[in-house]
Amino acid sequence: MRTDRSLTWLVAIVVLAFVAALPMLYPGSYWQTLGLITFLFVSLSVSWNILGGYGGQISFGHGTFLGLGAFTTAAIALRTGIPPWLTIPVAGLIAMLYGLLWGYPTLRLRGPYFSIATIGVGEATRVLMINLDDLLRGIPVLKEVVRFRPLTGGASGLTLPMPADIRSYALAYYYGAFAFMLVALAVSWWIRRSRFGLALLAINMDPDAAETLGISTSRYKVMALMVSAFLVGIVGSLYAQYFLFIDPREMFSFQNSIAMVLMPIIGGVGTLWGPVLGAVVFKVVEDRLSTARLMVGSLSINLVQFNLLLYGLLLVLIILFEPGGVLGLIRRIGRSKLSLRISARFRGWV
Amino acid sequence: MSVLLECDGLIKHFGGLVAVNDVSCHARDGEIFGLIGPNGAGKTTLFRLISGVYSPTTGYILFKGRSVAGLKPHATCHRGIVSTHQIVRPFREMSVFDNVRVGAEFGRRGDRRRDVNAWTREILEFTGLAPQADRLAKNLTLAGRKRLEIARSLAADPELLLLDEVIAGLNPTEIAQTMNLILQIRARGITIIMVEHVMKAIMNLSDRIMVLNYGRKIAEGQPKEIAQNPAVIEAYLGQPFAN
Ligand SMILES: Nc1ncnc2c1ncn2[C@@H]1O[C@H](COP(=O)(O)OP(=O)(O)O)[C@@H](O)[C@H]1O
Ligand SMILES: [Mg+2]
Repeated sequence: MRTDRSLTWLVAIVVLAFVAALPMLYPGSYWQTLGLITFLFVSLSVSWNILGGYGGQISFGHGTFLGLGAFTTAAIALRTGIPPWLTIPVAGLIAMLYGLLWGYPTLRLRGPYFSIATIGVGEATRVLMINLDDLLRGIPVLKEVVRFRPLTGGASGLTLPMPADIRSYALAYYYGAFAFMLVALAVSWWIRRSRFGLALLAINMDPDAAETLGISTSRYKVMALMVSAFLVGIVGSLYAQYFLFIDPREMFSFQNSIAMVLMPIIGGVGTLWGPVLGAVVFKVVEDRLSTARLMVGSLSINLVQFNLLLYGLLLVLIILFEPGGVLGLIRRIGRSKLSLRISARFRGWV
Repeated sequence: MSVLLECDGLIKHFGGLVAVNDVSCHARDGEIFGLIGPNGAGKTTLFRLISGVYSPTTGYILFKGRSVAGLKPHATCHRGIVSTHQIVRPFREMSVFDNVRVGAEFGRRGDRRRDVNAWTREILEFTGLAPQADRLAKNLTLAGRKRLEIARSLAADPELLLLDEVIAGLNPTEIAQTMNLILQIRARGITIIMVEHVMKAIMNLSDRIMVLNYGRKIAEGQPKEIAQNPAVIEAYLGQPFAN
């Protein structure tokens, strides 16, 4: 068990060192952007896991926080001209308040009923946000808000001003996203070993028994949603700051909400490192799929169209054979005879 | 002995069904109050009204003179009422220690408890679960899980403990052990209301007994009186009953 622990940390440290050095190895490259996107997705996965993994409340509505974080940052930066990074806490806060708003009523529902409600919240939010500017223009006092500048830009989206030195800007955000990922991991790690985490775990395993023993299940679930929403909102903000263009149809899309559910489940839901692994696997599969082509006779099929099918298949396999996800699989192999023999030879190395 | 819990005119409807029908009763400080009746009589429902899982259709529930009717279970727990579940509900993937720690952390005075782990260990020792502390709850025997149910509730530091059939399904040795544990819990100053079908246990342990039938109270008194009450014999004792 101890070797298992220190091995995890060793792997983590090697990976972190590589990631930190990547921009030096391939300056300003495709790899740097892919790295940044991976950090953001790992952060999403880890943040979703606080409510969904620890607390067992499967939310399909986390796309709302991603979108709100992004548009809060864009709307403030475009109106005031202050540096976008200053809006990060506000973006997190707005997402968190929105989480309180829809979490309080929906978290009274149990299991699949909660999940279904979150799909509704996500879709309603998306439609609202796409039409927000038009909507506000029709309301007497509120129309002043969008008189000179749109809030979401509807079908055309919002564009942030280009920074002067694009290369150092990109590099700063690469490390910024990396640092934020570490923050999300630290929050997740802290929650897992805290009193708060014990409450979430108890609620996950048996909400009625948890109530009986003095846990205010609704309070802890709402708190977990708010923490999770705060972090996801910040990811949205970082996304907007890096890519400088955001479209409400994309930011609030169901695809994003689904990705946040899939990643932790693929990697190992309810664990610290599972969601990290899941996000990496998810991004790699997506990246490979976007270029892969299947030749059937003279027909060349683009595999991107099949990504949902593939994820669906992966999900079914995981639920049937290894509910612990990739991490569960690794642990299972780790406990098998072969690895016991190997680790017996290398005991004391780590 | 002063009255700790007082129920007055409690009624609980489930649609057209009246599960608890105009029940009034009380439990005195430090006593063991027995609750018997055929299956479906409304015993578990009465427990759930007291612990806050359901709120009564009408009626009062006073605990230490204050109303607790309509409070959520976590709130009644913080006031000092903790209930076990007739069908045991351990946190299956947690260790026995962590199961008990949940009660210690979140039960009455849990947020002010300075050494949660010490209190958890004390409860594990007291209930005899200490040797199994590291096992996962799902790997315990039925007797072990029933004991865990009691241990976890005790860790929440109740003044009133509601025990719902914690003896049913145990073998004679385990029955004797659990009866002994119940007496020790009372000796800690905790008031107990217990539902039980095992007559030997309920008759020996209870200071007073109340009998429910079809949601109504049909008798109340000392065990001796209950055993000789014609209405009780008619409704319950004289007939074969299953668990
Ligand atoms: N949540 C519920 N919804 C509908 N009916 C219920 C519910 N809980 C209990 N009942 C009904 O109320 C009656 C009393 O049940 P219960 O209190 O469990 O009896 P006991 O514990 O004495 O065996 C039964 O007829 C049962 O079917
Ligand atoms: Mg019952």
